[in-house]
Amino acid sequence: MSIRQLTTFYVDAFWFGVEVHRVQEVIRSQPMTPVPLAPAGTAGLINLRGEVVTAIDVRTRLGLPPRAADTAPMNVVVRVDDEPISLLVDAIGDVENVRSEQFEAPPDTLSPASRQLVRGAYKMDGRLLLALDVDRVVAAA
Amino acid sequence: MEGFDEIVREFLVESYENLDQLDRDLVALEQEPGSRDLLQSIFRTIHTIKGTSGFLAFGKLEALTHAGEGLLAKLRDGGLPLTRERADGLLQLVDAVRAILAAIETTGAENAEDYTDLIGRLTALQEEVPAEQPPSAQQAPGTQQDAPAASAQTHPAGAGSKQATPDRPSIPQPPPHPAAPSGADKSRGRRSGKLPAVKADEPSPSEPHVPLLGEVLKEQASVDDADLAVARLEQELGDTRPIGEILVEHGQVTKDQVQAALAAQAEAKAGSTGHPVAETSLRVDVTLLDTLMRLVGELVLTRNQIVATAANQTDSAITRAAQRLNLLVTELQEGVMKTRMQPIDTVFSKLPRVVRDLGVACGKQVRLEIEGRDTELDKTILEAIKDPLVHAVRNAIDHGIEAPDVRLARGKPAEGRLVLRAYHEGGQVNIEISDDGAGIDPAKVAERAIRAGFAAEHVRQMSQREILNLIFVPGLSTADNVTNVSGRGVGMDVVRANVERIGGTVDVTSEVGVGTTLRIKIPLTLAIIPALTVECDGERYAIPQVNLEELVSLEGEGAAHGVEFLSDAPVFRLRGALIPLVWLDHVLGLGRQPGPGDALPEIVSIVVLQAEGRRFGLVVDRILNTEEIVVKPLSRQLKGLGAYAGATILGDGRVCLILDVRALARRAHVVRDVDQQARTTAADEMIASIGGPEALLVVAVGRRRIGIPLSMVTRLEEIDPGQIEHVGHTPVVRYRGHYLPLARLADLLGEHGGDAEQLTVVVYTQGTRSVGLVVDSVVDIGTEEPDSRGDLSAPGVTGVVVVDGRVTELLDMEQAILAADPRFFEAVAASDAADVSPYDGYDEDAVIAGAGEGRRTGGGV
Repeated sequence: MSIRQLTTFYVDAFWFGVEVHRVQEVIRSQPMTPVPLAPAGTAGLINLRGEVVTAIDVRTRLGLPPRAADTAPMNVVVRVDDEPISLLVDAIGDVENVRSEQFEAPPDTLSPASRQLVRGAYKMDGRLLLALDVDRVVAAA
Repeated sequence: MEGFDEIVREFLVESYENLDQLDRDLVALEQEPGSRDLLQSIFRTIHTIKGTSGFLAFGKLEALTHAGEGLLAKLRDGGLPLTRERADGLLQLVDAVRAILAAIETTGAENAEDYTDLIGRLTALQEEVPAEQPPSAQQAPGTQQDAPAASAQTHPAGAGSKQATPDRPSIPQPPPHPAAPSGADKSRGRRSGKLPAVKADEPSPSEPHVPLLGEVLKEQASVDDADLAVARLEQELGDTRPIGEILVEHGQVTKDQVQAALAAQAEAKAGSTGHPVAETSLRVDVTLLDTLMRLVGELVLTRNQIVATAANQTDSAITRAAQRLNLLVTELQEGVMKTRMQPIDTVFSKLPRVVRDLGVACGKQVRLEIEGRDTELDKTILEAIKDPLVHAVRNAIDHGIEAPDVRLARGKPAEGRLVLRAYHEGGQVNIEISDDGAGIDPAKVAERAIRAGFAAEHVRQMSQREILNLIFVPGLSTADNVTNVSGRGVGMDVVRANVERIGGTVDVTSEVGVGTTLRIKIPLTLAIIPALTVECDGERYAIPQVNLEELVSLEGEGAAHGVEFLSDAPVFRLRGALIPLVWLDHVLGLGRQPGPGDALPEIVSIVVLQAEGRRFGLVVDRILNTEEIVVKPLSRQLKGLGAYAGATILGDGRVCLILDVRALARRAHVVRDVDQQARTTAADEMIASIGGPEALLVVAVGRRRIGIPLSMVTRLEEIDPGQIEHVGHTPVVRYRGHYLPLARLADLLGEHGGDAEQLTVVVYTQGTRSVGLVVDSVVDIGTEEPDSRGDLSAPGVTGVVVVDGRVTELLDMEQAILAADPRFFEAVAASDAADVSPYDGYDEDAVIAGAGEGRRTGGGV
C-alpha cells in the first residue's frame, strides 16, 4: 500500500535503487583526488562546488570487476549522517515508484558480500530493482 | 510564542556574557574594595538581569537579583565595606544566577532549587551597617565632604538607589548611557545662547552626559549660578580661557578646587565612556560568520583561477580588473577573518574567579596578573584553548605556588604571583603562564619517569629541558600528593594533547625554588592557513607551514652522498644533526623506502618538519610552492586514517589533501612514542642498532680501494695544490680560519698518487682540531658485506673487507691522522679536559650528540 520513490542506477549487470530523499544530486564524472591509505572502496575526493566530498566506488564495494578504462562513472551524491557522499555508478536510470508488496529478500544470485549491502529487491516488470543500503555501503568503505 | 523564545534566548546569551564580566569584576573588587567603577559595573549587570527576569516572569531570578542589587547598592554608595563574607555572598549570587539561567536554557523554566536562604543572607549582609563606618576613601574626591547637607540626603538608601534620578546631583555616578563625543561639553558651554538660563545646560535624563566643569564646581559649593553665568558670558564675549581659569581669576574658587573638580569630571567621563561599544557593535550568529568565511574561501580560490588565467591574456583591461579583484579579495579575506577574531580576554576573564576559588580551596594567596588581554585569536581556537588554560592555571596554583608559610620561610612574599601573558609572534600567538612557585625538580621528574618504566640510560642522557617536558607524558604527574584539584593522573598530557590538536605546541621551563613557565604556541586561525604544496606520485599534497622548518634539495652527487643509511634507516646530516628521512610515497603506502645501495633520484627534495619536538625529513618528488589554503574537513570515514589533517581545493579546482605531520611522523615511527622526546637519544639508538656493518667512504689511492669509516669523515673538500704551504715538513692549507695539516695517503700506503689539478681531501675534525687526508678520488659510499672482514694486513691499513663485491682495505685512521698531525690526540685530550667537551676519542655517539662542529659528507664534492 505504501508507495516509495527510488532513484535508480546501473552498476555492472545490476539495477539499484536508493530512496529519493537520500539523494542530494546526480552529477557527471569529476576529477578525482585519490586518498592513499583509505579503504579500498574509497575512490577519492571530488570538489562539489567548493565542498570536499568523498567518493565511493560501488563496484569495488560490491566486489565487481573495475569499470572499463574508457567509461566515466556518474556521481550519485547521497546524504549520510548529514554529510554528502558520492557513489560512483555506471549509469543513471529513472526514478521508479515501488510498492511494499513488490519487496522481497535479496536474490541468491548476489555474492555474500553484496547481499550485506542490499536490503532487498523489488520485483519490477521483468527485472529486479535492488534496494541499496546506503549506510552500509558508506560505513565500511 | 516563537518571538518570546527568541527574547529568552537573547536574554540568556546576554546574561551569560554579563556574568563572565561579573565574575571578573567581583574578584577585582576584592583587590580594590570601594572602586566605584567596578561596583557600578556589577550593579548594572545585576540590575539588567533583574529587570529582564521581571519582564519575562522568572520570579525566582528576580527575587534573587533584587536582594543582590540591594546589597550592591549599599556597597556602591559607600555605606558598607566589602568584606570577605559579602564578596562570598555576591559570588554565590552569581553562581545561583548562572544555575537558574542554565535551567532556563535547558528546560525553559527556572530550576526547583530554593534560594530563600541565599536571599536571606544577602539581605542580612546589607543590614549590618556599622555605625562608625566612614565613607569609602575611594570615592570621588570632595564629593562627600564638600557637598551640602541637602545633597547628601538625596542618596536614597537600599534598593531604591537604583533609580538614578536626573535631579540627583551625584557627580561620580556615571550615567547609564554612553557619553557624548568628547569635547561636546566644551562646545555646548560656549555656544549656549540662553545665558542666564544655566538650567538649559542641565543634562536631560536620556542624554549621554559628562558634567560640565562649572556644574562640578557648583556641586562642590564653591560657586553659585551667578558666578558661573558671569564666567560663561566672558567666554561668549571671546575669552578663550577655560572656565576654571576665569573663576580662579575672579577669586571665586581656588586652583585646588578646580583641580579636584577636573578630577571628578574626568572620572565621570571615564565611567560614561566605558560602554559605548554597544552602540557600534552587533550581535552576529557565528554560523553566519562561518558561512561568510567559507564563501570567502571559495572566492579566494576563484580569484586564484582568474588571476592565473588573466596572466596569459593580452587584454590589459582584463589584467587590470584581475589585479583589482586580487587586492579586493585579499582585503575582504582579512576583514572576514577579523570578524571571527576575538580578544583572548574572553578566555582570560574566566580565570580570576578560578584563581580566587582555588586559592581559597588550597589555602594559598595568589595574585593574578594578566598581560595582553587584547591579543586576538580565531573564535574556534579560543574555545579550544580554554580548557588547557584553566588546567594549566590550576596546576600552577595547586603544585607551583607554595602555601604562605612555606613561601615566607623561603624568603618570598606570602602572596604568590601568577602571570598570564599573551602576545603575537611570527603569525602565531604565544601564551605564557608563569608562577613564582616551587618550580619543578628535574631529578624528581626523572625519578618518576624511570619508575614509570623509562629506560634509565635514556633519561640520564636527556637535557634538563627534555626531562622537564616529560611532565606532558601521560601518567607522569609530579604532584607528591593527589589533591582534589589536580594531580589525578590526567594532567599536563591533556593540556598538550588539546594544544596539539589545534596545531599548537607547548613547552615548559622551570627553576627549582624560582618558578615555572608554561609556553603555549598556537596558530591565529584554523580556517585559512599558509601551507607548502609538494608533489608525490603525481598528486599534490599540502603541508601546514607551522610544521615546516626548512627545505633541503640534494642534487646530483650530493643526493648520493647526502643520504646515508644507518642500518636500513635512511638519514641525512643537517648542520651536524642527524635527521631521519621518511619517503612520503612510502608512508602513504604508494612506494618503497629506498634501502642501502638503491639508486636515488637525481634530486632528493627534503622537507624538514618538526613534530612533537623531533625533526625529520620528508622526501617528496617535487616541492611546488607556498600558498594560503582553506582547510576543509574530511568525511568521517577518512578522518580516522591518521595521515591527513583535512583537504583543500587548489586554484585549478582540484582537491588536495593536507598532511597531518604529527600523524605521519608516528606512522613512520619517527616519533616512536610520546615518551621518547630526546632527539639525541634517537640518534644514539640508531647508531647502536647498526652494530655490525659500518658505512664506509670508499676512496681510490693509486690502484687501491681504501675504506674510511663514514663516522670519521667530517667533510670532503677539493683543494687547489697551489694553496699548499709548509710548516716544517708538514704540508698545510688554510681552512676555515685554521691550518689544516695534510697527509697524503699515497705516501702513507707507499703508492704513487697521480698529480691531480685538484686535490680531494677527506677532513676529520675533533673539537677544534682537524686533519686532511689527501686521496686520489672518492669512489663510493658502501657497507661492508657481512663476514667479509679479513685481517690481511699491510702498512697503513688494519684489514680488508668486501664492499659492493670488491676488496677494500680499511684505513688505519689513527696512523693516518698522526701522519698529518703527530700531536692531534694530545691536543684534543687537553682541550677536552679544559672544557669538558662531550667529544671522547672515537666515540661516535658523543660526536653526533655534540652539535659543535657539523659533520657532513658529500658537501664539498
